[in-house]
Amino acid sequence: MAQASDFSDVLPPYGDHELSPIQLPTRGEWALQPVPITPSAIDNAGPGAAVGDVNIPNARNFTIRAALYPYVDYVVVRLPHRGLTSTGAADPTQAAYYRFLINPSSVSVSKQTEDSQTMARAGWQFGVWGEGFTTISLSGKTAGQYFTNGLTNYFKEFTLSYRNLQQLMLVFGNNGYFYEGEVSGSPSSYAQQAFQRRRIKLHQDVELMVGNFIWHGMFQSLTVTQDADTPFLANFELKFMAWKEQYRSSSPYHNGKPNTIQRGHSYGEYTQYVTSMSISNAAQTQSLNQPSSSMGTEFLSYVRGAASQNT
Amino acid sequence: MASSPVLQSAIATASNNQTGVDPSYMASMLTAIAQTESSGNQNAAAAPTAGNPNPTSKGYFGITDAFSQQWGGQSTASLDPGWQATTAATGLAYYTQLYNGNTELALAAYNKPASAAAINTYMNNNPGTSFAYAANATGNSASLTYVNQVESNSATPLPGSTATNAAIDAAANPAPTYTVADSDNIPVVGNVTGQAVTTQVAANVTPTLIVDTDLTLTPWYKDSDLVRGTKKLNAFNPPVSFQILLPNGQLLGHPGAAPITLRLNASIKTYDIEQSHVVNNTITRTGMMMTMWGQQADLITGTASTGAFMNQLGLTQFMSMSTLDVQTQQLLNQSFDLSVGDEAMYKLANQPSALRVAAEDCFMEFLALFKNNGVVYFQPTNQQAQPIYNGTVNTTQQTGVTAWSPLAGSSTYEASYRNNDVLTRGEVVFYFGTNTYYGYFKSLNWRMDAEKPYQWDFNFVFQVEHTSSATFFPN
Repeated sequence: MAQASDFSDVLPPYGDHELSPIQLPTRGEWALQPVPITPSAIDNAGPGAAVGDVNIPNARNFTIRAALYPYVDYVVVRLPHRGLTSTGAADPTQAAYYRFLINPSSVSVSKQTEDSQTMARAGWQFGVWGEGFTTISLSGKTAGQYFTNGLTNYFKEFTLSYRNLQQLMLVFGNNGYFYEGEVSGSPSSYAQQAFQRRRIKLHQDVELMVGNFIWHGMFQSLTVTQDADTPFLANFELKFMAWKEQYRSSSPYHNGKPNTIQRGHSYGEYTQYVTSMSISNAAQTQSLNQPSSSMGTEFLSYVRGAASQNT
Repeated sequence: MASSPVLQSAIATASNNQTGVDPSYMASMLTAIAQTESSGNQNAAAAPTAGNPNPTSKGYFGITDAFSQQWGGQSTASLDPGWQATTAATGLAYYTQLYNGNTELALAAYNKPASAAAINTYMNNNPGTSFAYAANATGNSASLTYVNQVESNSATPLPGSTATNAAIDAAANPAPTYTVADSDNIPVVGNVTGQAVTTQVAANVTPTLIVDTDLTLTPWYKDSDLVRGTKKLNAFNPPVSFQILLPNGQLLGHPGAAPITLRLNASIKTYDIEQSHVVNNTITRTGMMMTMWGQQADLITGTASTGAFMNQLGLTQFMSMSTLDVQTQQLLNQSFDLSVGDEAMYKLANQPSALRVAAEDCFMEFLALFKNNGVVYFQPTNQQAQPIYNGTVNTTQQTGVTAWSPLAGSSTYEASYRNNDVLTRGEVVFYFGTNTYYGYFKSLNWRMDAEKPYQWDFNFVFQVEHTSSATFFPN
C-alpha cells in the first residue's frame, strides 16, 4: 500500500526494518505473527515447479489482484491516533486506515428506539427515551486468492486477498483500544510477548465510513467462513456498534446538534491527564528478534505439517 | 486591448496570409497574445529574472531569438510589427494544427513548447483530463497561468477554448428545467389542522425552543436540481407523508413558516397493521378468571424501497454529493473520453448538483425524521451564553472540576452531559391513505445490497398511539 498509515496490507519495509512489518497492538490472546519469507523459500517448501508448471513463485505474486481498484473509498475503517510516519514510527496526530480489497456486498443498518409500554386500566402508557445504538452489519466475500499459477488454496496464506483479510482481523482485534505498556517496559519481540495479555488503557472510537455515513463506535463481531463450495475466497460478516453518526463533508446532509464531549477514556481525554503519553514516541512494531532467513521456511513447514496431520 | 492601428493592420495581414487556421481565429489569438506579452508596446522587452538572466523576448508578441530562428527565418527577433505578427502567426498556426485545434495547448506551446508537449502527453495518457488539471499534474502551472492570462485578455472567448466550448454547449444543450407540479398540500383526508410553530411560541417555551435552521432548507421533492423517476407518479398516487406534532399541539416547522412535511420517494411496498386486544386468563379451581384491558396499541410494519438512485448522469451507485472534492473531480475526469464526444457529459458531471441523488436525499430526510421521532431534546443554548451549554466544550471545561451551578442545577460538566437528553416529546404524524396515525418509530432498518443495486431497501416499525380515519358517505 502506498500510504504509511494504510493497514489494508502488511506495510512495506522501511529502511533496515525489512523484516519488521508494522502492526496494530491487540490484547494478546490473538496475535498476528510477522513472518518474513522469500519466494524461493515458498517454492522449496511447496510443490512449486515440481507440479510440472514452469511458473515459480516470485515477488510479484504477493501483490496479484484480480479485484479492480475501488472507484471511490465507499467503505473505509478509520482508527484515530494510530497513524504512522513515513518511516514507520507511531504518529498519534494521524489516523490509520483500512480498506477492503473489494467492498462488502451487503451493508445492513439497524436502528432502535429505546421505549417502554405499560398497559393500565385507562389505556396504555408509553415512554420514549430517544435513539438506541445503531448496529451495522457488513457481509461480503474476499477477493479471489491469486498466487503463482492463478487461484490457489495451497498458497493462499501468501496472497494479497488473504493478507487483506488478516489485516481486517487485526483491525478488528485492535478495535480502537490502547494498551498499557505498548512500548516502555513491554517485550520487544513477538516471541517474548506472544499471548501475554495487555491491559486496556483507553479506547478511542473506531470510525466506519460507508457511503455518506460516518459511524463512531466499535466492532462487535467478526465471522470468517471458508467453504469448499466457494473455494479460493472467504466469506466474512462484520458487526459494528455505533453511538455517533455523522455525514461526509461532501454530502448534502447536515450533521445533528453539536456534541463534542469526549468520554473519560477517550484518547483526547486521556492525554489531558497523562502529559506524556508513552505511545507518543512509540514504535507500534512487533519486531522479530533477529531476522532469520530460515524462519519463513520453518513456519511454512509447520503449517504444512499441521495441515497434513489434520488431513 | 491592443488598439494600435499599426498592430491591428499587422495582425490582419498575418492572419490572412497564414494557412491552415481560420483567419478570424488567428486574429483573436494574436490580439490577445499581444496584449499579454507587451500590453500593446512595440518596444517591450522582457526583464531579466533569476531563472532567465538574459531574456531575448521582445516586441508586440514577445518573440524570442529561439522562436525567431524556428519560425521567423532570422537569428534574432525584430521589433518590426509586420515581422512580429507574421512570425507569431506562423508558429501559432503550426501549434494549433499540431494539437488538433486545442487553443490552450497551442497557446501553451507558443509560450513554452516543451511544457505543452508534456501536458499533451499527460492528457493523452489520461483521457478526459482537462488542460488545467494536466498542467498542474505535470508541474507546468506557469503554462496554465499564461494561457489564462491570454484568454482573459481576449475580448471574446477564444475559439476552441474551455470558455467557448462551454458557451457552445450551453446554447446547444440548455440546462434542464423542471416544473414542480406537486405542492406541499397533502391530498389526504384527516389532515392535522394544527399550525406551524410561531415565532412567539418558540420564544416563550422554557427552556427556549431551539428550532433547527435546517428546517428552512428546500425539501428534496421541491428541489429542481434533483432528478427522479417518481415525479408524475407521485402526483396521482401520493406517497406516504409525515409531519411532527409538538407537545403544544403545533406542527414542527421553522418559526413563522409552513409546517414541514416529509415524503417517501416511493410509497411503501408492504404495510401491515397489527391490532389486538389484551386479555389475561387465569384458570382457577372454580373456573376461568378473565381480565380484559381493552385494545392494544396498534403496530404498523412497513417495508419500502428508496426508489431508484439517479443523478443527472442516470442510474448510479455513487453517493449523493453536494460538492465535488479533488478526488471525485479526478475520477470524473478519468470517466469521460473527450475524444469520442463525451465532452457534454463531462461538463454536466462537473456541475455542483450533478451528483445529487434524490432517492438518497429523500431517505436521509426520513432518517432524520426517525432520529427526531417527535422528541424534544434538551439543548439550552439560549439559557446560558457559555459555549458549554451548546454541547461544545473546551479542554478546560472537559477536564477541570467544575462547581455546582444554582442556575443550571448541576455542575457545568453535568450540564454539558445533559445536552441532547430527552426533555419532552410530541408525536410523529403518519399519513397513509385516509388514515392519520399518531405515534413514534420503534425501529428502522435499511440494507444496501450489491444484489439489488441502485436502491436501498428499508423497513420500519411504527408504534401507533392513536388513529384518525375517515369514512365516506354520499352527500
